[in-house]
Order: sequence, then C-alpha cells, then structure tokens
Amino acid sequence: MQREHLVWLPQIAKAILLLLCASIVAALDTAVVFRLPSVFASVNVPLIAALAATLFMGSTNGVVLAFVLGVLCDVMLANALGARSIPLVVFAAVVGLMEARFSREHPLTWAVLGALGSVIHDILYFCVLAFSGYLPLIWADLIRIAGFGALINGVLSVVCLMPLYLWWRSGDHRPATGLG
Amino acid sequence: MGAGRSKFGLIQVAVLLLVLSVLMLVGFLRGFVAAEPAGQVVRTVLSPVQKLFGGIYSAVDSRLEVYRDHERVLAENEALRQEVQSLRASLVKNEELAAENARLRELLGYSEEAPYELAAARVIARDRQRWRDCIVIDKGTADGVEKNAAVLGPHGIVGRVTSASLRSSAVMLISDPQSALSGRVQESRALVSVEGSSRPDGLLKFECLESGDKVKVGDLVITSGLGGVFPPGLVVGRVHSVEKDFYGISDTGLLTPASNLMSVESVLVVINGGNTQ
Repeated sequence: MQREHLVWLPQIAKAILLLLCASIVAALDTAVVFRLPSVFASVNVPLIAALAATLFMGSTNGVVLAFVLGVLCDVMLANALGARSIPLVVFAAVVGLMEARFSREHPLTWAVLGALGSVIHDILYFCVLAFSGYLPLIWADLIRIAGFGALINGVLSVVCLMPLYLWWRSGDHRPATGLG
Repeated sequence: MGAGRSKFGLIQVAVLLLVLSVLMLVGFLRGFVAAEPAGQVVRTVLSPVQKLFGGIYSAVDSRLEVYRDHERVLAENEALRQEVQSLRASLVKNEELAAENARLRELLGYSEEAPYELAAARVIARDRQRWRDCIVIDKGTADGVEKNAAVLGPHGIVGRVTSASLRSSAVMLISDPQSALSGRVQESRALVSVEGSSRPDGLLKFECLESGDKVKVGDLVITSGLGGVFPPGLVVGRVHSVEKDFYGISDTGLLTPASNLMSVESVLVVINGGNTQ
C-alpha cells in the first residue's frame, strides 16, 4: 500500500520542479526584461524557456510548462487570464509535434525555431488581446514588434539554447520518457 | 509506434490545456472567472523574487555604467554640483515665499487644504512588449494601497491601481489603451477626455468635450477630479497636436504625458484622501 503511494513521489517532485522553474522564468521575464536597453526589450524569456523545456525535457513537459508560464505571467501582470498561455501552448505543441523532422545540430534550426516561434507567439498574443478588446487592432504595431522579436529571439536561440542543448546531450541528461 | 503514442498523448495534453486557456480567457472577460484571490497570492509570493532579480540587475547595470561612462559621470557630477548650488539658492527664496504665503493665508482666513497621503513605491515588474501598459509596484494593501488609487510620477500622473495584493500592486498606466480619464485644459478650463493608445511614441489621445477652439498646442492638461479616481489639479501632460473632429465641431489630438511612462522606475501612490470612489 505504501509503495503505491511512493509511485507518485517522482511525479509530484517533477510537478513542483516545473512550477518552480516556471515561477523563476516568469519573475525574470516580468522583473528584468523591461529594464534592458530597448534593443533587447523583445527578448521573450517564456518562449525560450518553453522551447528549451520541449526539446530538453520532452514535449509534454514543454507544453505543461508553457501553460503554467503563461498563466503565471498573466496573473503577475494582472492581464486577462489565458492571454499569454494560449500562444505559448500552441508554440510548444507545434515544436513538440515537429521535433522529429529537424536536426538539432544545425544552428539554422535553432534560429528558425526561435524566430518563427516568436512570430507565432506575437501574432497569437496580439490577436487574443485585440479580439478580447484590450487593444486596437493596428497591424503596423504587430509587424514592428513581431519582426524585431523574431530577430532577437532567433539569435538568442542560437547563441544560448544550441550550446546548452549540445552540452545537455553530451552528458546524456535526457529523461527516459521524453522525446527529446 | 511508441513515438506515435507519445504524439497522441502530446496532442491530448495540448488540446486540453488550450481549451482550459480559452475557457479561462472567456470566463475572465465575461466576469465568471475571478483572477484576484489567486493573483494576489501569486503576486505576494513572487514579488520578493521579482525585487531580488530587479535589484541584481540594477546593481550590475550601475557597476557597468560607471565603468562605461567614467568621463560622462565626471562631467555629470560637475553639472549636478552646480545645479545643487543654484537649487540651494532657490530653496532659500522658496522658503521665504512659503512663509509669506502662510502669513497671507492666515490673514485672509484660508485653511490649509488637506493634502492626500503619499507612499513612495518602486516598479518591480512590467509587461514586456508594452502592448498593454501595466506595471507592478512594491507597495500593497499592507502599505495602505487600495484598488483605484492614483499613482503619480515626479512630473504628473502615471496611472491607477487596478489590483492590490499584500505587498505589491498592479498599475494600469495612462498610456494603456484601456485607460481613460477626465482632464481639463488649464488655460481655457475646457473639459477633455484623455485616453491611452498603443502608439510607439507613447503619446495619449484626447478629445475636447466642449465645442469651439478651446485647445492650443502647448496647453497644459490637468486632472479635473470628475472621474472620481484622480484628485483634481494633477498634471497629465501638454498638448502635442490639435485637429478638429470628424464633424469639425470640437478639438481632438495628441498629448505628451508629463511623466516619462516608457522608463518609469519610482512612483508615488495616493493612499488616502485622493480616491473619492
């Protein structure tokens, strides 16, 4: 009977770890990124974290982390609940479904993932806010912000995530259950 | 086969979370889902972490700034020293004027207006992409901050508290597209409605509520006190451009906010008296 309870312990530990990671990333995104010079203000920390979790820890974990991250960001900034989690979950799910089709050793893959993910995220987030009545639908704003974000997040993905992934793979840290 | 099953599991989880997100959003917008109790707990728990990250960043940035701009800092130091000298001189003059003002008030029988109490707060978080202009400050209900309290910057109003938790509060800036307030043109006394916009230059939109040429470029706009949130007489900004509305009857245009809303770091919150709602 006791052993049956113990089976859940790793799952609970994983859930707590996931929540802790999400809290740190959300705090970092809301408390630090806006202080950066305007060139780096488009850095999307939750997006990069969701991408890393999807590719390193398995796609299901990535999607769950993306959801928790989105909700935490919305709650911390008193935003409309779900506005941020919708684009993050869609992005993590798309990466998770397509991950078998791309080579992770190529820098271009990381650049495209970061840039495309940023564009998908920004378009969805903008549309969610606009159709919720929070924003006027001004396409010029979307193109400006999404274009700049794609550039910054694409570069960040190659510079930070790719080396991290290569180190991760060389140490064989991958979880047995994950696809990554 | 295993990979296919995993993908099926992934789709199930993703669809479930997506549906949950959409339901939360719809519920929130229609008022069925209240984010407040959970939001207050999360903000109370995570505000120390945000303060810590913000503090680390500021400390690192200020160190780097000193090394980067040593020459500029020296020149600025000299300029500030001169400014202090001149401010000291004007302070003495102001003290004399204040004393004279008090004497004259006493003579005329005026009583001092009850000033509202202010609490100084620091910005600990902000929405990254600035589509929505919302900041989080490090003062909450424990410091007397209430929902709808006015938030001021060094030169004028900044926004209002939309949600207050124990140790932090969310503030909607006046540049947020959802923000609207009642103002008055200081010179002509005409009432104007001031709204936020998502313009990259941070300018606000205004519409004069009275017909005729009541607004000129450069006019100062202050709060009217009619909205019930902001006390009257606080500076909102200066008129940047004026044009006639669609019917050619009243003035509309853009307003430069008095406070630099793009880089606001410290604010003052009106914690009693100012909020008349």
